Amino acid sequence: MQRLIVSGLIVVCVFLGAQKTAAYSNPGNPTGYVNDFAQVLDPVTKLRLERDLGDFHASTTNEIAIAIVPSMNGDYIENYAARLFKDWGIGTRDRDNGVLVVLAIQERKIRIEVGYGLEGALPDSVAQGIVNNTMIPSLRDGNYDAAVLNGVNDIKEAVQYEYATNVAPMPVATFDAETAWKFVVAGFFLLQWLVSILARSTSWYAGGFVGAVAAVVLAVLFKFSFMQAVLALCGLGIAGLILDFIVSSAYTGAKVSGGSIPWYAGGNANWGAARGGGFGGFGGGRSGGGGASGGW
Amino acid sequence: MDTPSSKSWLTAPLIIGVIVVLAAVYLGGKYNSLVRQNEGVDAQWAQVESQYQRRFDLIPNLVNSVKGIMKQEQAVFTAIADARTRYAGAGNADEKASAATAVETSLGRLLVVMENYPELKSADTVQSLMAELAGTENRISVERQRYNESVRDYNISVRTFPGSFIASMFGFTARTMFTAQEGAATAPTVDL
Repeated sequence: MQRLIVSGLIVVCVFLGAQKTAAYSNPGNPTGYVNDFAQVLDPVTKLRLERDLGDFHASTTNEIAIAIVPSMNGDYIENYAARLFKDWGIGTRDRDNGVLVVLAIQERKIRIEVGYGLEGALPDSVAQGIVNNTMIPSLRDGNYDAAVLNGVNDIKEAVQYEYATNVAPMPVATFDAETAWKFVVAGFFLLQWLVSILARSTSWYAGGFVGAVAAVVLAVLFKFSFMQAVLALCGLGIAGLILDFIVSSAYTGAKVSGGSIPWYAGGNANWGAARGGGFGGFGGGRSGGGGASGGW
Repeated sequence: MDTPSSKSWLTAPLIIGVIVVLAAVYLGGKYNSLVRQNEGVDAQWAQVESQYQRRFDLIPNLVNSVKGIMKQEQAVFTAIADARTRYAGAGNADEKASAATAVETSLGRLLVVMENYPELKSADTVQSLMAELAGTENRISVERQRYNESVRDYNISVRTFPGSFIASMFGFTARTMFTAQEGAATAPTVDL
């Protein structure tokens, strides 16, 4: 048995080892527009860039991301940048208007990878100019802050007229599947909250009352006819009564027997880890190897 | 109340019927996903071809801007012109792929020879053309890689059970990947 475990561990280790030597490895999820995994940027620079790029995104919808990695683990910069761009999905899904600036510190390589939608505004020759004339001189001096700040400024200048909000207004918000889903989720949580109150209340008629109120609200909102309103009042009132009866007895039963309170009656449920606030990730844009690279 | 025997004649056909319906739904979904993957491979090949076309269009500009200075290198220009003609005449995807490889080889030679002409390196037009060309080579390698990935996924579906069953029934066959030449895996770097 012990030998089995040992050989199993060896197999796992071999697999992990094989994965580690594979060319591309993702440095991690983006935490903002500026992702300094190598810790070479000044915090003030980082904050300033983060704010600038956030503003730029707000006014043009273009997403410029920066990734500074300590090492590419044997990958070459063109491949690394294209794969990282794909993993992070920089730019919006329908416009592919992202730009990724990658710096690999150990290999001393830099690449500007341009999304499909910005290849016209930032052609390879312009990107090459930014790499060679703006960024590499500063990088040779070891001044990462200046290199990134000036490089980003040049990129912004090149792509600022593309997808500017005054030129191409954002599509009007419509009631699409995503919005509908949000309503469903919101309704679900509202219902759960209501149910947890009903379950704890001792009254038997509160559920019916809530159902009746819901019916009146619906009738006003959707301008029900008299017959529809009466039907809704009866239906929702009775449904509320039944719901109250079921959840109250479930709650009381759980209390009496000492079991866990059902999740729908306000017990603790594991909904999975909530997503961290702030930066919500990029929009799912794609790139196809456009841009330019260099070394310093 | 029903006796068990009066109902039992129904159970077996019912179970079989449910299984048949479920199998049909599953196999239908599998067929659809094969069709989708096959179309995806075609779409990705179109991406590769559009980048070939881009390179194809860039070459005359580059050649014209360096021809005047590189008078002794007629052999290189002839090779490029021949390869271009071959690519233009290529019919199917396999022919195009091999012609594109010939274009690549002759272009690589031109880039090497250009190293001997320092005056070319400082010319603005040449510099930006070289950047565009390097960018195109990189685009080609990215799109080719994605083409291979989509072919790989499709081939796995075609060759594994139960996809293999559906594939043989409807005539889906495995497709060939793009195999790069030795040393062609990385985009050529242009140092100017």
